[in-house]
Amino acid sequence: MNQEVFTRKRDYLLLLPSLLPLLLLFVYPLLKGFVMTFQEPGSTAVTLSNYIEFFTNAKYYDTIWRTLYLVVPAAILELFLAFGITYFIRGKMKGGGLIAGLTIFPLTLGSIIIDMAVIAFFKPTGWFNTTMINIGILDEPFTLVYNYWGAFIALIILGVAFIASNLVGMMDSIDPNLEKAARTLGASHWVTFKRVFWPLIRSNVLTVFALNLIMQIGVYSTAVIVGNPASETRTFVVVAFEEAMRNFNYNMANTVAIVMGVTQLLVLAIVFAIRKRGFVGSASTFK
Amino acid sequence: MAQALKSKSFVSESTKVEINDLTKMFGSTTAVQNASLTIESGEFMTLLGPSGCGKTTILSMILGILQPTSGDIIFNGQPINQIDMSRRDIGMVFQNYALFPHMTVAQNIAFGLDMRKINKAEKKKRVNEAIDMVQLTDLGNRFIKDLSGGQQQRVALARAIVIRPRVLLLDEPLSNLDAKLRKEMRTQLKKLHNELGITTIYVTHDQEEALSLSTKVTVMSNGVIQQIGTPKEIFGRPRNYFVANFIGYGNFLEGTLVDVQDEHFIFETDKDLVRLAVKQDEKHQVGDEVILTIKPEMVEIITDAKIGMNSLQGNITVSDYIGSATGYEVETAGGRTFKINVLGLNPYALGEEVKLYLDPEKLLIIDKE
Repeated sequence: MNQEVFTRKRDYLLLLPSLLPLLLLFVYPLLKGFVMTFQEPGSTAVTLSNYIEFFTNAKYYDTIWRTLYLVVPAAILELFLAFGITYFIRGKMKGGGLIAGLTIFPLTLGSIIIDMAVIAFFKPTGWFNTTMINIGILDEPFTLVYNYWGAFIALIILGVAFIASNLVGMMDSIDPNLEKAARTLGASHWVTFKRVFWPLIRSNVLTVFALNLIMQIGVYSTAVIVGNPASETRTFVVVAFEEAMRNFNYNMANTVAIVMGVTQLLVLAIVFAIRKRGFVGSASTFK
Repeated sequence: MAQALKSKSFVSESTKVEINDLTKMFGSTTAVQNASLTIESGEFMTLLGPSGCGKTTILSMILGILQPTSGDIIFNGQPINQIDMSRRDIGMVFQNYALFPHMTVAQNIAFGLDMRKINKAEKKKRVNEAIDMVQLTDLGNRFIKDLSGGQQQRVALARAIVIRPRVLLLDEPLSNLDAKLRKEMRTQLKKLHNELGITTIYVTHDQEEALSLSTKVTVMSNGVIQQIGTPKEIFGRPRNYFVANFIGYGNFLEGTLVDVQDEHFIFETDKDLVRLAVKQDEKHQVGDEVILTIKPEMVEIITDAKIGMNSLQGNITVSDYIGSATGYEVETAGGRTFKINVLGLNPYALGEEVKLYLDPEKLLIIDKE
């Protein structure tokens, strides 16, 4: 018995080779960065001045609002679009694979190429505005790049792809017989969705939603390339990058990063609190 | 018990189901071809056949998941093809039960009553009765994942019955239970049907289940109905080779009826001219090309009496002892193999020479197609 326990404890040493890089490359910088937020540049004295500066100077605290104002509406719209598409093509629909493929494809391109594509498509002389003016819907080009909407569109494209890539499998994990059972018991399509399909997929959907949301709170390249990083799309990372690379104020950069991290955790907590109010178990009971 | 239950709330009005010339095509493949059958109200009809024979397709069309390519499904004289599946009032037990995992047992059972906007007091009463009926008293607040397979199966049954369905459909409901439980559930199902008298359509590939449960059996193969009859008719007088083979006949001999002697046909096999006497029936006449079959348990192994017509000589090639019986395979001089089941363990050794007697009264004439 004792021998066994001893052996087990010693076995944990086998984790060391994989834990060591993690400790050195992630945990140490994280802690170091966290400590730096309580110090002035070039000093080791503990102070709250960075946080006081962040929450009293509009240049900094505005980023919270600006990031959330860009990312939260985008994430909600992404969820609706991705859910709609994947719900529609679930099961054995013909051409479903193609639609899913096209929806998820932007993930393979990455943020910067999507941003460039959005610029090419939506700039004042791009296809979108040219077409709109030619068919007479618009009189003059509508500004859709280098502002809030440019970043919004780019986020939507990637966000929908990310959420859809996760939802495709989840939709199929819900036994179609459950919906058939509900229908034979007298439920309409809508009631079947409301009382059977949605409660079962809800927790997974909210998890993916939360994941996507906190990923997008860290948006940088889109905000810079296709947005307006000086004002409308001045997100957390834009400010943190500016502090670190232009002002060489690593302490402030870390402070911004910590506030961003806390914001992400809060968002996560809110979404998971909502998630816990419904059914979170497995969608299969069959033995 | 039956009387007591009848006064309760499960007995629905009886429904006669007619299926007229029903065909279902998937692209160019025909899943069901011109199927016609009538299920009298209160009857227990089993659709029996191997997987892919179209039985589940028929069930899906009655249920409304699939639209027939042509033909009608009629409940009490009223075609239901155009009625949405949510308005057909059919109780369905799925093969994997399809119980809602996010609801308790009671909520699952109450689902159909919720859809019918039954008032609270009545709903509670009916759910409790249903729970008692399937012997799940006190489990009403459990979630489905906390139930065993057999209990889940009973919840599925209760959920289907509580809505007072016009017709009860069961899609291989016992196939996922272990052998002992399956037998138990079979008895319960039979009892329940006797008590409630709901028109029931049961789909299975297990001939034992079909014969034991049903008042009528429909045997299907490749989308075509092969035979409809009572279990006795199906088992005693299978119409053709497929039906006979599927419900457990063995020992098929192809040949021709060549003569009549003392109310017996004389049958001769095509290949090696083995002559056998077989009891005359009305359906066949001399000159018909037929198949002769006999159940393995009807073949007798004899010593030296009764030698003559209908006895064959052979060697035992396989001996398979399974406790209550022993299965032998005997190869005759002509190279034919006969399957024989003997009760208990009979002391025949491998390679031993034995004589087989095929009783003319027990041989059965069936059609080739």
